[in-house]
Amino acid sequence: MRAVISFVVVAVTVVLQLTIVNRIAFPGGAGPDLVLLVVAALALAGGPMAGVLTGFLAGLALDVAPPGSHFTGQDALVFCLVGYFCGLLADDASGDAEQGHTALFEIVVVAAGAVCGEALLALLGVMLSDPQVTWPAITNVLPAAVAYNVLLCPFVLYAVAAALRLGGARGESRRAGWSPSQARTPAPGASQGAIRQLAGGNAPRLRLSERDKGPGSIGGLRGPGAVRPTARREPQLKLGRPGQRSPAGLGAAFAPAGLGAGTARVRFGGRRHEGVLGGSLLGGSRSAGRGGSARLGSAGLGSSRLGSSRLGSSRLGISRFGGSSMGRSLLGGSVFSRTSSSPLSRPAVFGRSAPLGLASPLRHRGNLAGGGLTGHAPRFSRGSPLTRVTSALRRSGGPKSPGRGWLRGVSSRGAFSRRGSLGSGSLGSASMSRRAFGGRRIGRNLASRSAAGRSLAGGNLGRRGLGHTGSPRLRMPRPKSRRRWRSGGYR
Amino acid sequence: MHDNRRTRLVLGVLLIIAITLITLDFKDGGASPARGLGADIFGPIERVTHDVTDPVASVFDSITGGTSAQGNITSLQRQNAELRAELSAAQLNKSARKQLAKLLQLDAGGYRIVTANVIAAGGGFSDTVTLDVGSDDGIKADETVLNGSGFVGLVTQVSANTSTVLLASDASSVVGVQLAGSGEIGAVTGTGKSLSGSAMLRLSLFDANAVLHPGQQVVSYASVGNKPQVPGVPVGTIVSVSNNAGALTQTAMVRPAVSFTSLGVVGVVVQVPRHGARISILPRPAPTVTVTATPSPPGTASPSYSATAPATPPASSSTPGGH
Repeated sequence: MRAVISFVVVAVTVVLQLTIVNRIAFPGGAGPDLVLLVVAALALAGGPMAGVLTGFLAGLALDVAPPGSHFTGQDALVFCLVGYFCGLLADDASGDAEQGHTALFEIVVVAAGAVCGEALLALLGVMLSDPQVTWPAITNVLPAAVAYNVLLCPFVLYAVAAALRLGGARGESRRAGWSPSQARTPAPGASQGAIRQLAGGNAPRLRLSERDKGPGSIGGLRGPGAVRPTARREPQLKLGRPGQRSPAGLGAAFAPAGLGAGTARVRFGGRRHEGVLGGSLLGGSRSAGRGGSARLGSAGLGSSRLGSSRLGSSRLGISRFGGSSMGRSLLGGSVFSRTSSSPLSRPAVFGRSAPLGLASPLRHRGNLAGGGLTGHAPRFSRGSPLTRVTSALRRSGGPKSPGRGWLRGVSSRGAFSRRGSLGSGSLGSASMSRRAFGGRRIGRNLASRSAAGRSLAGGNLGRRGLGHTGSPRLRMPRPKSRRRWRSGGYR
Repeated sequence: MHDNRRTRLVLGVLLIIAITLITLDFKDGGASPARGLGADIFGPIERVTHDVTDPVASVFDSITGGTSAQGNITSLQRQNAELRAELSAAQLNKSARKQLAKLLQLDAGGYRIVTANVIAAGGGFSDTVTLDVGSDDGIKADETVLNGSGFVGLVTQVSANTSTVLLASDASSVVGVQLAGSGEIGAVTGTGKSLSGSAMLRLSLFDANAVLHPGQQVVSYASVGNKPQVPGVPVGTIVSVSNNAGALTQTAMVRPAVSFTSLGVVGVVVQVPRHGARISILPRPAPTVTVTATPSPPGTASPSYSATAPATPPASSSTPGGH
């Protein structure tokens, strides 16, 4: 599934690059190379094999697509290498630190890949004595191209992650039982990679159920509690509710969120928001995880997220609007995952869904619990008044959030602690969901899927305490899961 | 581990394939058959995409297209004042229409022109564009592409529905030219991306003793069978002459008549009049500002040729004389 999505993404990017980006006369004499960025991002998400294949195909497409005037194979060669090394880098990093990398790391890798790619292209041109590639030309083109690439890489990264998530979600929903990753890797904590995960989907079943119900009566939607379980998917479902089925446009996504904010029912509202966010490309999974962010978004902060992240003042943004998913992601979480690993992000995690994803999405895939369970919105809180208000509402309606301190403590710890937190978060959410909606399903799903899930579910659902215990277990399984996933996925 | 090995194997294989492709293409001089396949696959997609995204691209063009005219601030300001009054989406369409109208007036000279839209452009170091016409429309390789302002480039590759044009500004492009007044012949090569700022062309005149001075107009020179270029199409105007004492050729920088960054509607010359219509093809510079690019925010951009048009002698007065 992911391969298909990657293929589509690459094809679309190639066409956009040729028909739009190249036609724009960027100041500086050169424009960004979106294809290169996309290849790097896909490699990051899928590992070396995915990188090599997508790189080669994307390069070949650029080589033979009409306006190309360089030698056929030039781009294929360079993109292939870029894909391989980006994938390798991603793997290594993830290998050590199980939880994966931070969004910042991912952005840096993609940017570095793009820079090296541009340089290699120039070098290759010189080697082939391409009349177009002269030293003065290189000195003119390279800096501008590199600058634009670096500038755009976070956005491309998010877009790719969103696309993968989107596609993954859909694909999964279609085939409920499908995801091999899930079956193979029950590891609860593991899944967050948006990309991989998506494919793996946390709880496909849940989703399906959700969707089916979604369109139906509201009560039905909510009732299923399914919502909770699949935080990531939720977005889509939710979006659907508002009447907007298309997750595609960010704008659309945000807008609904804003509208939703006003809803009288606190809980639902919260969920909806989540849904919205989740639905939104950026947030995707992540947003779903954190209700908090969702809410903020709804409050109108949505815009703030992007802005803050772009500016690089993500921290500020976070502090202000704990909810901004982007901000969080930049700080800590990987783009692909929805959860953020950084402490700040924690809160969100905590909130619920996000939790699973803590680690970078790319690497893990597995955690059902996390993804699925988290349904709720975390809320959290970071200190903005809005968040507080929302949190207050929430509390009244539903489960309580552990509270900042709790999160932070967790966050401060290593990956384990995080996971634990996640686990706990998930548990909490699960419990919540049960209450609210007779979450048996959720519980079952968790249990069935992951051992960790079982422990959690069976143990208690209860909530946070359990989570901690669960965390260590979660960890262990990941490595395997990852490998399998990848190999399985890409084949 | 297994995964790694497999990945490396695949990487190796693909790299070898890529290098092989490069080698083959290098040997063929860039005419790889894969290109035709690529054109067949991507051509239609690009056409459709162009139809969908044209308005977007036009807006960008209008914003970023005219950096070349930045030098003439006063004229820009004046134009901006005019343009601001007309800022609207309709204006974009109008500019396309104007380009087309200018193009069509060339028909009076007896040239048969197939009009085409630019639907895609090459990136990186190359200056190439794709047109939405191909062999189905009677386009063949090595035909001249022009627009209402002058010489755009040469068709290099043709597929059924698309054709690739090597712009005159590309570093690998060479166009035979002559000076409109004196008839001195020479060649114009693109500077590609090697010059920052606006695109310029480099003229080398074969006669070391010829007199060059800024403001002279350069037009395309006749070629055998009117391929690769038809004669008499304005290429640009000399803006500076570099005096290299002792050099075998004289060189000068030429400001192109065409704004290569805002190409919209162009024409491919598929048939040349029997009896010399060379003179008639020279469009006369519009007395007023010709807005090709359209509105742009104050300070940035602007129509490109407008600045040069007044400076150039009426094109129609020039006659390609020598050959």
